[in-house]
Amino acid sequence: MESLDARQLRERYGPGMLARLKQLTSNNPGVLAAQVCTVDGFEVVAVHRNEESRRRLAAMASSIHALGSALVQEVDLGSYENLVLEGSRGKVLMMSVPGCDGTLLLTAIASQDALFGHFHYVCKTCCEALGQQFSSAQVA
Amino acid sequence: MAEEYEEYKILITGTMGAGKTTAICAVSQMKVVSTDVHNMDRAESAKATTTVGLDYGEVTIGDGAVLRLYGTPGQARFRFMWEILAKGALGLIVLVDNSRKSPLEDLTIYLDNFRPLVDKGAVVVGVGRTETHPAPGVDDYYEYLSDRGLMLPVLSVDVRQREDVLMLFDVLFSVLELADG
Repeated sequence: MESLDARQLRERYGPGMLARLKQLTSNNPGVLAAQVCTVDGFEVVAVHRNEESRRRLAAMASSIHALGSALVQEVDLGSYENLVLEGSRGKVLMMSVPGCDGTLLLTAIASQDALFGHFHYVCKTCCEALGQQFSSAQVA
Repeated sequence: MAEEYEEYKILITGTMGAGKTTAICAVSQMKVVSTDVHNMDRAESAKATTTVGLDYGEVTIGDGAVLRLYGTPGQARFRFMWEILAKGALGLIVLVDNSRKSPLEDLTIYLDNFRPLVDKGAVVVGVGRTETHPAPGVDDYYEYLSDRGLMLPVLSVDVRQREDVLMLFDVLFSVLELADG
């Protein structure tokens, strides 16, 4: 993928990515919020009410993703794919978006009622759709 | 039974590109744990990669004590990592890149954000790239710190050099001993 910063990504792909995130949250009632950020911690697009929290979430997702990757590498488990955090009131799932050289991450937040398997499936589907957007743009 | 040695947690911080990862790699006797990712913010720095989680390395010093070295991310948006990593740290090395626009202001950011360690006097400042960017000089740093009521050691260093990084640790332990009385 061409090297773009968060602002350029937002300008070029923002509407399409936001539509995917809205689809993820509106079609799946248990999914409360979702965000795409760069691997170095800048928000690109989000469906999340609190702007300050969104910025912090992007930086935290970037750090946790990097730590997860380092751990997976340390124990020789191949390439990092996703990370799940479970709190007493919900779950957070972080995934690398395919097709963009590992530069983008999807973070989704679900309520405690969301079934993990379903949550994982819809996030993965969303991630693939986000990745497809880049592949299509490059072909075009 | 295996002999037991003291272990100390030392934190290394500073702006993006100041040489935190380089410093740890220069001295670590184990493979450094790195969380460097692709740097997409080229306006901030032209570096290809940036640390977003932490760097971790270890070095055994003269008396057998093990220094556990933690490098922080440099950018303020990772301030939450600074708070996490500062827990339990014995001392702090602040690396300043003298080639940046306002190195003294850069220093202030880290002194303000690692206040508990600064208040304990457990901080050493290492100024890099002075061979190409001599100003501000070490005396300017002392004056700047003095104006803020701080007495911290300031050294001109090249963190690619193992000896320079070890010197920072030596000085840090000296000030810690002095602080202990």
